[in-house]
Amino acid sequence: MWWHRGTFDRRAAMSRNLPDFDDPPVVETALGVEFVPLEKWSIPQFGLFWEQIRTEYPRFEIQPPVGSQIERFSAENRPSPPTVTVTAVGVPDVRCWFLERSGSRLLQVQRDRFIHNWRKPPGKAEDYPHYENIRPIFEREWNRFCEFLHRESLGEPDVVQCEVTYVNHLERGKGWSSFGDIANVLTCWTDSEAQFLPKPEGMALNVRYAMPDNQGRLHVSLHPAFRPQDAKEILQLSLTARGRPVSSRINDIVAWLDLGREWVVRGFTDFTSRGMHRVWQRKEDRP
Amino acid sequence: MNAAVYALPAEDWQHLDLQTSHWVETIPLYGGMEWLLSAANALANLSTLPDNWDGAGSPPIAPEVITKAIDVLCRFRSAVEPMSHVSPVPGGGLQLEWHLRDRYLEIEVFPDESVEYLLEARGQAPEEGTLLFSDANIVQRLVRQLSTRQSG
Repeated sequence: MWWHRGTFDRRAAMSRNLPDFDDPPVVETALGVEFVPLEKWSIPQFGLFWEQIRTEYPRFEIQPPVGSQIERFSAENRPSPPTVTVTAVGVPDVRCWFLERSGSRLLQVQRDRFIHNWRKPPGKAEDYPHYENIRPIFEREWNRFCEFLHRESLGEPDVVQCEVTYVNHLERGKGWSSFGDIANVLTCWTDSEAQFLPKPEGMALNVRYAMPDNQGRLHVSLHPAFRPQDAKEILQLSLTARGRPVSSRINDIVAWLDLGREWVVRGFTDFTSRGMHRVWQRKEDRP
Repeated sequence: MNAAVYALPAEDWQHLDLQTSHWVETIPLYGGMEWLLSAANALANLSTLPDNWDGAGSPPIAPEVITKAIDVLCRFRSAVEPMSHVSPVPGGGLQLEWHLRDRYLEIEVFPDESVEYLLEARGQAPEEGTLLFSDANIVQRLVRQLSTRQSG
């Protein structure tokens, strides 16, 4: 069938030479695709799909949809602003969360999105399972979704973008204790020899990087945040890579996810300091 | 389905609170939201109260009660006025208070994690009831009480 990938296994190749950490600050990852909205997809299809996955994903939540965030490249290489869609009549768009039994995985489905999230479950000492173990789950679930679409005659998704997101939480007290320490956390931030300004009281950063040959973009954001689950103050460092795969075939989707993941991991390593790498116990670079 | 699409000017779109694909809930700490952190710390510190902390046999504050109280704070995070005071309640509950010039809001989290509120505003009859998080209207109305301009 058209969505099954070949037998070529890239796992060993995709991990080679990428920085790795024994105690990384990652708390969540998301692998997803955006596709042209499925015309025949409506509210009943959420229930029909849930029926297929309910034993593994016994709970659901309704969420507002994620807006389209397609990376576009103009001559100036600037991203286009998003548009806001206001629907006056008809069935409102929704996104459905299907929550896996263990509490560490989630499927997000809407008429133009399919996203698989892993998170560190609250109150559990579950280690980050690494991309090599998460990607096959995405592939399996995407195949299952495509099989469902095929069986229900809902069409074949025309994938316009892939997305890889890693969310990291840098807890206050682990490598930084005030915003005056940010230069010890980030490589792009240096302590100015300020004559007048005091140490910053707060900060937030949004940086984006274009990948070569318009393959996509890496977005990096850092902001202080409060984590309700344990009432801790953190710096939330999110890295999101987005870009268009060569085609909608699973091989090409996976190839782009591998590229996006490489940009996220290398970007994270470049963006953060060696001192923080010691806190996160960076492994020796592999030959 | 017909949809109208409007492109906002560049200076506006960056301020939109767009939905993301993130799952782990966090609350950005800027724009006057820092009070949330100190209030949550004050709540968390109450977890160290020993058994019989009031000399009348009250139990320690259960972690679930503190978590519920932090949940209350998060739902009130957009209030302009920060929480004024928190205190343990005999029996193992917590009481959160907002003291404004012309109004007073008290929210009590009970040991069974139920939540009740009392609102007193100058010139109005006191209002009290159960605070159900499933009822977004009541949370929004109370937040408005903590955000609208106070009379002299």
